Amino acid sequence: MIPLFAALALLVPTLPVRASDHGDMGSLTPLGRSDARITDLHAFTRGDKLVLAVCIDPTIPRTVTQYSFPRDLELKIAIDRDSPVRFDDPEELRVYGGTIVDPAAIREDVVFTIFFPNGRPQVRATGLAGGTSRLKVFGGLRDDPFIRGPRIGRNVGAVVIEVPLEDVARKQSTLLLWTTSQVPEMRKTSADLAGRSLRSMMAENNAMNQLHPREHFTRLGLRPDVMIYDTSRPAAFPNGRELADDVVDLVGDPRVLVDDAPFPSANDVPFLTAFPWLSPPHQP
Amino acid sequence: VGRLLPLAAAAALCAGCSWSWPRLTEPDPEVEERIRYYEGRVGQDPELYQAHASLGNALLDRAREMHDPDDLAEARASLLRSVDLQPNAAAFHGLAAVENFAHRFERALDWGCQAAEAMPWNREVTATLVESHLGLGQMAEAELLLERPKGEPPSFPIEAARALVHVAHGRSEEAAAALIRAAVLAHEQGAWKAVRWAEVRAAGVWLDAGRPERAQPFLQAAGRWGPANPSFWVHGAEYLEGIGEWDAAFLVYMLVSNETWDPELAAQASRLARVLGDEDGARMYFENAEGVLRHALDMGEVYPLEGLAGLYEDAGVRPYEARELARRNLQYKRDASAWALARRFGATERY
Repeated sequence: MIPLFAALALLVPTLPVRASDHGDMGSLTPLGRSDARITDLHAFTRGDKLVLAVCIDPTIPRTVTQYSFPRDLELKIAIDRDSPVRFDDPEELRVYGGTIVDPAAIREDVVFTIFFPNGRPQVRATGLAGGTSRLKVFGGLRDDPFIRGPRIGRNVGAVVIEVPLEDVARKQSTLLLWTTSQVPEMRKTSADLAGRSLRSMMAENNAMNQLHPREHFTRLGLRPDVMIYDTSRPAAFPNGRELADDVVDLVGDPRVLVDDAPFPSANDVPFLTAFPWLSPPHQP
Repeated sequence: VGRLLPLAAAAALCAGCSWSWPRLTEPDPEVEERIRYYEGRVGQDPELYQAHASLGNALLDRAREMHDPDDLAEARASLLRSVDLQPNAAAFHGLAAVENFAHRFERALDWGCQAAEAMPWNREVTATLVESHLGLGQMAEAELLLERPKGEPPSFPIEAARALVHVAHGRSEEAAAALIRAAVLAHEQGAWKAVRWAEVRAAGVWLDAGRPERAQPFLQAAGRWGPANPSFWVHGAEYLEGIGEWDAAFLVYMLVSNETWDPELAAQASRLARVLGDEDGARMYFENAEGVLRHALDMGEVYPLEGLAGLYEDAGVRPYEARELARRNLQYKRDASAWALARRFGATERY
């Protein structure tokens, strides 16, 4: 008998990934679409500007110095600017940053749609008081701002939008924010979703990624995965999210903490003091 | 297995009829759909690096089942195109898998290390690296990769890779146990193709160990998952051969070899035909196997080196060429089977 042709071929079929690390939405990995995985959403203010930063793709090789965003990727940052939020429940305030009075009524009033026709971001905005003329947009490779041991020295694809706060927050100072990614392979509402840090990226919350935040409540019976941000107060997790917020420690999920070595409490490189605020990428 | 004997019997009854045989294997519709989908995507936008990577991985999946060297070449080209457009982890991992399949284990290791650097948590990448080390005969390195941090939950790829290491050590019982664990993990996730893969591989472990009675339950289990893939039938035929049903085994080898490019099947059909005294059949299937292997060699592939040397060895022909093939094979593949083949030819001196 001749030796089996390609006898070693492991042929390991691809499985849905259960455990999550930095990115979430396990089903994207078997599709080879790690590039559509949202790794972070930050929202904070600088002066009278609202800064929104979305990071994607935890698998960018260290050797990459030029990053072309996926041309078929669409990111959205959605803002509900008039849902009433209470701040009188200490536990909800601690965990979620407040209590959404009517989760079933969450609607996006402002939407930034980011697409990448030539590998660089182009932004379309709806619901913005001043239109897009006052937007500042950055897109490219940046240091991963996630303060987490395994992410030290890693880069991500980042989109940063800076917009006058008054163009977004009109009736009230509190905003609900979330971001989604969409790729053609995923024919659902979204491929990935991020609101408050370390929620929908946990395996037990994977279903949230394909649902609108209001459906987290109406269909799953869960608190919607949105970021509550009262812009009248400084951003500090879970009220919005500053770049310096060590959400791994602040959330304190033991499944994440256990892999956090060397347990950083600050970013590995300093953040910038000017737009686009995120640190430049690490060089190979 | 329950399906094998009646089918083989029916095939035997129909021998000489002008009917066309029913197909034993079916192209995996999910893989075919992926290939069509991503071909369409790169057709619309040739710079979609993710689509090139996904197309390459889908073509590799088909190559693994159907053994068409053109699929392998296209898979490699598509993945390289992806890396060319934008270095990315999915393409790195795909290239590692392509080169493992192609027996270019050193190249596979290089791509696999790049994939592991980008996705250190990805256990499928770890399994791919294990496969590369095993292909190079680096057992200690392969085993080191299987040492998992305390508290890491068991995973399908790691159990599958552990089975390979046990196989390399000749530990059939442990290999089959690891594959059963892999099947259970896949079952828990509803990944039925992976369950069948593990069951078929477990059957293969016992067939390689000369224990067809231990393989039988695994084949029976794998047979319940609908249309059979070529891997299932290869082991099904080996089982039939193992229990002495040589005519039935020959028919399965013959039928499936007509449906795929897998030269292993034609080689087995040739060998069995010779045993059964069918010299014309033996010659025909020998030529089929040789033609496919030579075609792949002519395309620049090196994976046929071992198979072709073994084919010549089995047939007792072209000993000098077989010796050279076995010697060249060691340049790329240095596991136990490669060394054993080279030793049989006295060709262990390395390039």
